[in-house]
Amino acid sequence: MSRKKKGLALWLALFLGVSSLTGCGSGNDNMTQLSQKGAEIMNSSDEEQDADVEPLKTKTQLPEDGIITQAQMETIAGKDEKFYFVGKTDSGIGYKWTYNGSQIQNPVEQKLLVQCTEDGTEEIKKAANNAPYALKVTLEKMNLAAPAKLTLNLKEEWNADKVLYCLEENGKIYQLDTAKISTRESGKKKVKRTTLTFNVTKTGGDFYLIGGSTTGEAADDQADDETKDNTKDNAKGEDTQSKDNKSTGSSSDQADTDRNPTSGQDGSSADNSSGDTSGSGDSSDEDTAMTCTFSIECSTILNNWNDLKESKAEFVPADGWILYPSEVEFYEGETVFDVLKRVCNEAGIQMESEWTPMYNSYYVSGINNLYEFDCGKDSGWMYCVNGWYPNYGCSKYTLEDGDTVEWRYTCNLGRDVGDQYYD
Amino acid sequence: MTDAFSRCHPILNFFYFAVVLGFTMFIQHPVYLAVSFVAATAYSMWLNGVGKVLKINFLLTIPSLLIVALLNPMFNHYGVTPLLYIESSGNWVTLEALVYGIVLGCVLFIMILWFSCYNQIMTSDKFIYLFGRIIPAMSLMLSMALRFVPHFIAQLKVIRNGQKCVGMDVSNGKWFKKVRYALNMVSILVTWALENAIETADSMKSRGYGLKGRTAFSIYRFNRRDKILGGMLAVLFVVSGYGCYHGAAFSQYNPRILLAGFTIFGRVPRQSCSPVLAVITFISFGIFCFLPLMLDLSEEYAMKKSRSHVHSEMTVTYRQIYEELANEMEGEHK
Repeated sequence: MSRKKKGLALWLALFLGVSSLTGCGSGNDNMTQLSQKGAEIMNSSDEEQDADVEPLKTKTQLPEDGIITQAQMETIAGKDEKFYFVGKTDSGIGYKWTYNGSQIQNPVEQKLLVQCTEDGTEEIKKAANNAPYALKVTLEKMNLAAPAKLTLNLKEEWNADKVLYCLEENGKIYQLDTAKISTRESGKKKVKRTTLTFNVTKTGGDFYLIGGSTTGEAADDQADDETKDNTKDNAKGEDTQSKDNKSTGSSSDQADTDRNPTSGQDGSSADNSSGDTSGSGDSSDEDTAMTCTFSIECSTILNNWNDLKESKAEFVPADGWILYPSEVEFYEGETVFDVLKRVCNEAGIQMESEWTPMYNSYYVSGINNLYEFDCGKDSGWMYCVNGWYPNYGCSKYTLEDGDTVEWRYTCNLGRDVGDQYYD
Repeated sequence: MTDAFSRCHPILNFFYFAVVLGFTMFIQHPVYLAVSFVAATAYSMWLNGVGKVLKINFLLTIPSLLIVALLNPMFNHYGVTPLLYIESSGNWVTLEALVYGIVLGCVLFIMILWFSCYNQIMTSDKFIYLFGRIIPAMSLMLSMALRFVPHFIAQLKVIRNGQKCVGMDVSNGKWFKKVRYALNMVSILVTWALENAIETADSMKSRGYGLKGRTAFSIYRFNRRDKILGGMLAVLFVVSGYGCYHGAAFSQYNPRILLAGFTIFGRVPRQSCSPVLAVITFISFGIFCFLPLMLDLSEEYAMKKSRSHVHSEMTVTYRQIYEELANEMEGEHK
């Protein structure tokens, strides 16, 4: 009898021990913080799913408030197609958002209202070496469902060969993207007007488009640039007209398909496969060899050294780079996680991941023995592709040729590495 | 209640187990775990019997130790010494996780041994005596919770015997009936448990448990022996605690194995501790762990000595008497 008693008590103790062991080891609570993001999105999507929504068409006129609801976004999520949202600012500048349906995994409400003004851009111009052109773009605060491309149809022509899309913070200007410039002729008088296209990875607040010519200061040089631009644009214009069957002839669509052939960054495979040969340089043999730029860094720890666990100090490189940006080959259909796995294995970098059924994805808890929560309670690994922090797991993100993947260690729930989710 | 330590003041018993369990849990240095293990095994064998301890260890604790030791490297992949690559998740099974799993298994094993001693020494009346007035509700709940499982099992046996008499035991009938009988027994047991909890609470309340000015029945007195023993325990605790604070028992398994006093893969802990302090800490912790056993053994020795003395005197006297009587009887017969 007493032996039986003891046996049961022992098994109970064992059970407690084992459960506490697995609990403290890789812990469910570990995942709650950074992945809460996913949970919130999932919950809210469940609630609204049953509402009857008209599926979004390829091109949608934005409502007055510029809001595309979550239910509407859901109708385009995961579709291998581009979707356009068109609107006009108060000052009459037409704009168009371009979303790639396949990049949307967790649809969230999008606030796509854009305001443009040239007021108060004098200082910015001055700060940017007296740039001749500047435009303030105000975007509403939201969490991007996918990296979106924004196209602005300006009302006048910019004689610039380089336009930077920037963010101003504490008097300093940070470049976010280089806008693609094209010129269109509209109206009966054939007035030349500039169209700018750039990628949006941050929202909420004022952003600046700063234009100028990089070749020289003299007026003559500018004139040269103008002609150069025109010839280039004309050549491209022919291409787009013959190819893009989605194009309704409106100037905004033309701007979108007009791609700078030298930058392979935005050449999405979906688009290329439809017979686009305008960017002949980047779409040659992508089935056999696709490359992405891959990097792993933890420089935020250097700024939060006091929060770091003492035992982990030796694993933080002096400059914060665990893996310098390097070209990595990958195969069709591989995800960010697949590439991370292979890169780490080849480079001999320790890595730990857990399959998380809740997010239907792997969760990377540690790289190079630097784990989540090793540098404060808000620390962990995040990934961003082409400047955007996806709101879904890394084994759900399928890479495309020329993508730039950054794995970054955050000490503040992503705020210190440029993710806006918790702002 | 045969051993000397359980006759000491409850506060000493509690202090001893709190320190020993705490050290075992938080100081995961293999040398200290070994000391703790030897002390726990010896004391447990002394209190529960050698055969019983061995049987339980071999049947239950060692298998569970192995399970725990293997579970850790399956779910944790930190460390600098990769052993085995898992293709699907990109994880490595590492030496560090394996070693830590073994250490954790040992901690669990030693804790179970210590708790088997704890159950013998710290009875629920001692616990209530110590904490009944400071945290009345909590201590009653704790003591009830601690005896919950054995109490439950005992009552289940009673219920089962009763059901057996009316032919409704699990051993009767076909499988459907068996399940019904089993569920019925569970239902009875749960009902009883709920009722019993209320009854216990009511009876404790009716006795004025937890009221102000109520004294607890106790035969515990903090006498001279307790003072000496308490002083020794306190000094040893302070010395070993001081040593551990200064890194005498430093241990780290994640991400690299670092142990005080050892060089592992050419590495030593950052926080170094003088060898003298390390040895003093080690010895004082050892004495602390073995103190109750030493007390028992010394008492046993003294008892045996005096008993053998008594025994020899008595035997001589009685033998003489018997022999004389026998001689007389023999004489009469003849």
